[in-house]
Amino acid sequence: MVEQQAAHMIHTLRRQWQHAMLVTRLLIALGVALVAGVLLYRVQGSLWWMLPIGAGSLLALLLPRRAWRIRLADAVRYLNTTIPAMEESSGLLLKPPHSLGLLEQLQVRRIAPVLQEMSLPRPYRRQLRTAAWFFVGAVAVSIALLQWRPPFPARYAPGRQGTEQAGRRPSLPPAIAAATITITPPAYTRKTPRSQQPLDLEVEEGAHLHWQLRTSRPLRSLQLLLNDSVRLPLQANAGDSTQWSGAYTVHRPGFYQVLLEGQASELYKLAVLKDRPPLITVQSPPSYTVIDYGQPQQVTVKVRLADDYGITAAGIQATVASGSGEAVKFKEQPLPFAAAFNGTRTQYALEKTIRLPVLGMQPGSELYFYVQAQDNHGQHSRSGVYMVVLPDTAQLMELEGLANSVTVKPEYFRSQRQIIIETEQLIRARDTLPEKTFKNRGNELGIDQRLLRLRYGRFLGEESETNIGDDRAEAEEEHDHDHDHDHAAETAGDARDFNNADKIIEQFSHRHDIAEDATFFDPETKRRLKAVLTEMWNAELHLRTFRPQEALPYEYKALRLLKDLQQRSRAYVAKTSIKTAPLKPEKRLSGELGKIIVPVAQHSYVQASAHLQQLGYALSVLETLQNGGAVTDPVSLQVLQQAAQQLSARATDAPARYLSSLQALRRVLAALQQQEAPLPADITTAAQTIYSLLPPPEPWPQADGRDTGIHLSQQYFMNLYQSPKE
Amino acid sequence: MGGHYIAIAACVVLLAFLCRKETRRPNKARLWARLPATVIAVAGLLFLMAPFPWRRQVSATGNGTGPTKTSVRPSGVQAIYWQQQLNAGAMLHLQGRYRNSAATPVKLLLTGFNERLDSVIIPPGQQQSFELKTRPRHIGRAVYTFTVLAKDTLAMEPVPVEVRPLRSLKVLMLAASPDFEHKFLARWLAAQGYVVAIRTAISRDKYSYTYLDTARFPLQRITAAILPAFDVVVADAAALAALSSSERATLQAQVAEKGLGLVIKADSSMMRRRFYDRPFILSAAGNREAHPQSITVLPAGTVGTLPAVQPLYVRSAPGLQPLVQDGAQHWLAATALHGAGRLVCTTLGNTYAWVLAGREEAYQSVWSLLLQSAARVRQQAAQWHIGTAWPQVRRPVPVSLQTSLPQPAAVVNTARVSLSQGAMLPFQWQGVYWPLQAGWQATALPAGDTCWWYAYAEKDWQPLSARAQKQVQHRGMAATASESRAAIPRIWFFIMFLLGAVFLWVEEKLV
Repeated sequence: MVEQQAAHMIHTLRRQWQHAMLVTRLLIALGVALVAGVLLYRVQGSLWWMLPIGAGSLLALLLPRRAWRIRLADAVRYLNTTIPAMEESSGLLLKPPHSLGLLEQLQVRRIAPVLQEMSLPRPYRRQLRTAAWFFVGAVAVSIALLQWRPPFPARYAPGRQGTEQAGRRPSLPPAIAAATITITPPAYTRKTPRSQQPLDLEVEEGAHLHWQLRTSRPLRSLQLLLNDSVRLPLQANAGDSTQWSGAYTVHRPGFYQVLLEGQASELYKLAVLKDRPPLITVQSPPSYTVIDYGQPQQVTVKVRLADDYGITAAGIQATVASGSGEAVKFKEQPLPFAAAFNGTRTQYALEKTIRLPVLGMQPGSELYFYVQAQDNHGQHSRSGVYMVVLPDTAQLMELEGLANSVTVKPEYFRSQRQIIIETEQLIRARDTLPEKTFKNRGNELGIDQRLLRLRYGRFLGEESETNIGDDRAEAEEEHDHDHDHDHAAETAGDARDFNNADKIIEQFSHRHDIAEDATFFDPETKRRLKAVLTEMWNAELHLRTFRPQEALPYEYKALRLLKDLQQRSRAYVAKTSIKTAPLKPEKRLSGELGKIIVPVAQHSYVQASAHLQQLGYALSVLETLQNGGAVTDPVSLQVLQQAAQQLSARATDAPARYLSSLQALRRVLAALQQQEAPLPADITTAAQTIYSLLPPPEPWPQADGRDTGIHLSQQYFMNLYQSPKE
Repeated sequence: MGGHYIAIAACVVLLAFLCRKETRRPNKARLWARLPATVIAVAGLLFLMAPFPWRRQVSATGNGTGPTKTSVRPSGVQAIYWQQQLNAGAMLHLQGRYRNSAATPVKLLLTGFNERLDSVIIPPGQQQSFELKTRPRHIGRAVYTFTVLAKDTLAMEPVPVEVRPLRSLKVLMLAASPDFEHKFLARWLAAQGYVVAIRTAISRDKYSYTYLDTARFPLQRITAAILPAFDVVVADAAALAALSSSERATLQAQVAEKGLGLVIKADSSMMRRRFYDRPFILSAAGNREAHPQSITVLPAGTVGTLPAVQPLYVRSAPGLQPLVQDGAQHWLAATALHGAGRLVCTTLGNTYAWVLAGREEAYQSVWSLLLQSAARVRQQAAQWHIGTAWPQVRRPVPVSLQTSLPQPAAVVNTARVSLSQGAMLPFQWQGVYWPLQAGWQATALPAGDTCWWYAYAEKDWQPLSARAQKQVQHRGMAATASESRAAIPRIWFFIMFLLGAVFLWVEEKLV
């Protein structure tokens, strides 16, 4: 029995040893994982690295040499070496009794009670203790690492610090166990009410807010302080002073605080999403359209409308201006779109064709129109004004403009006008004329048109044709020549020209591109002239193919372009000034001035940069705090308070941008008032915002203060400086 | 040091050997003279060989304020300077020299308020001058940081800066006729809270008065009662010429004796007869056509252009300092001293065009310079001076004070510092303060403004601050005896050796 118990003890020893070994390795691996994980957390910000590091180090400790496998032989060897009374024969205890020899049995009987009597040795104890200490040390080191902050916080990573600060969500104030805010968006948004737990709010303009707060203890009063100015008392539910509720309709952004029996909480954001007015995009027509003679008298308006919640109405407001000079008349009329607006859709693509004669437009009248739209919040918006012009062809025919102008070549215009008149005549007389005469006269008009084109073409340096097979054109050419050179008497058969070789060569030669002619006009004029020629080409084409009706639009357009060209060449000369009588200097300033009162002006300016100066002081106070200095004097506190007021005013307008720094500054102030050290992160946030608010300073002339007004120095100076007599 | 000991040991051995030889000589004659001669010769030899330990002190004994020369220059900042006290709106210039003996470029960075303000890169293996600039936005004290970055941060040093709040000027303007130039200048100054009074002649003996940010007071005559209240008088030449002789004398006395500034807006009528136009010689340009003229403010640089028709130039002359130039380095404004005050002559007459064109910054830079150069230096009750460039914590910092107060009792950070009166200049007082903590130190008289200075930690700005510290210590030591001893030239030791050796040689021959 004794032998069996001893064998059992050896087994127990082995098992405990093995367990201790495992625990040791586990502790070491955990310690390594903890320290490495925390280090990586400081660098990368994630704690999940601990798992792979722990598993890896555990494997690394256990796998090699299979150290954790304690065999029975190890236990036996340990007993042999540590307990001399075992007489190097503990191994016998494990052998089955029947296999033992006589001597062995005797030995077993001798040593078994020894083992029985003494308590089981613990070879693993030291290792276990070391591992435990290592683990404790690792825990301590990692806690220290978590608490440790770099001596210069975020000096080189301002951005990261800022985002962390911004990303932090303010929690519920103490004593508030739960909060539910029901947001009822205004009707125009057609959104369903929603509710949220966080106290930071972002709501539509005009939304109705309903706070339901549950406090952890009964309170006497609970209020909301909006924008540091408006107090909104919350009502306790009947008989229960832990349930409070209150409602408010938001119209302007800002922030609010919860006042628990007069004690203010953190600041919470109250951002307002404004409804934008409808957006109108007119895709066609362009802002100025001219409808020439012969073109279809209609305009297609293509519009895109967009709004964030819905459009209730849209239309075109058209104004027709007709007549000219003082007799101009305006007629306004709204033109509806075909689509139905019920305020549900947010996007519209609309098209509307305006027929100009239906609006009562005649040649010479103009159409102004704009598109307007209304969203379901009642906000209007309108597009720019678009203009459609029907030119008056009759006005082009008037001579008045020509008579006054410094015209270049009046007869050219007359020619074009003449062609139009004759074309119209021809159209009117078409029914009465025989077919052949009609065609003949059409062809002749075409030739006239061509001659005109050739004349203008010469100014562009085009080839100057001499009228092939048309003696009428020859005569015309000569006539034109006379005009140009102002040699009225000169004719082709003049005797004085008998020996004129140039003239004879000219008669028989075919001259191309006269380079001189090509330099008459600037490129812009030439471009316009070319456009005229194109129209003339088209007119000629239709006239020569006996379709005068179709030629007429081109003739009109050519005339209009010519007129433009003519207007363009006019110059404006300002009136010269009047002459004044010369001044008599001896009479100057000799009048009686006794009754002239002395003008005295006195102004006081409000110094615009005073508030910036306060912020500048606050910045320096915060900097002192950041570098570990103590700020205890009341002046510095006052400076910080004034800065907080300025920040508060800005946070009302843009809570998303300034609220976090306002909160930070208030925490700094609160800490200072309680004689505590404020958090470095708060100081950094506040200082950053104040720095961004301050504009780069400008140089101003200043008084220097150096001299100490010492009598000795002054005496010395006065002796050196001898006042020169003037 | 090892060489010294070897030389001394060798000489001792030599001396022992020689003395033994002398005593062992059978002829004992003149032993009493031979032994001292041996000692003298060996001593002369020793002093010839080994440099004296006090020789280093001689080289380091400088006057402490100037730049010191050291032979060994490791990588790092070799010299640095910035102005610790700035006026509001002024630029902070951090200038210095950096030696980069590493193989990688080094970035020098100026940071403050968690912002990178300026940086410069020093290429590898070079020594370069650098300048980092920023316009401080704060008012009061702040510590910027100067960082040296290679792959990691090599050094991070504090740059303490105190920005003094704006001290506005009181400006009196005298105009011979109403014009835009005066009107815009007055409006610009008054908007910043400056006191401006304008007297504009509108007719014979008729003036229009304008008082901006001040109460009314009589300005009919320029008297000695009015002028002390102002820092600068801005007047056009015609208005000055129209002053009566007594008024002019009052003005001159104020400028020459009390330091009042005078800005003269010159025209071609200046005859160099009065005190105010005597230093300035004007010459008209030949160009009669209107042309744009580029305006350069010294030393800041070109700020913009102004239209000019036959502009007037101030001719360069001894005693004049140019303030504003055009593109061809003609002077458009210059300043001269007149007694205790300063005269500024400007020929610019249409700077208001900048305000109309929205170029306020050009207007501001020109007029800030002109008024600043003329402005009266205000008197202070006391002026502090810190005796070292690098005051260090737990080191003595000499503090001196200039004041006309009879018995100033200085207080530094609540601790009283006793000051000793200067023997030569009775208004100079000196004391020593040992800062206990790094950071800003407040020094003040019981009644008066506080002067702030910064005590650096021991690790800051090494090795520059250590060098400066050594200078301070040596300045104290310089008065002790070492200087006279150190002045012994080597020739005396050689003569000593020669005398000893010659005596021994001759003595041997005498036998």
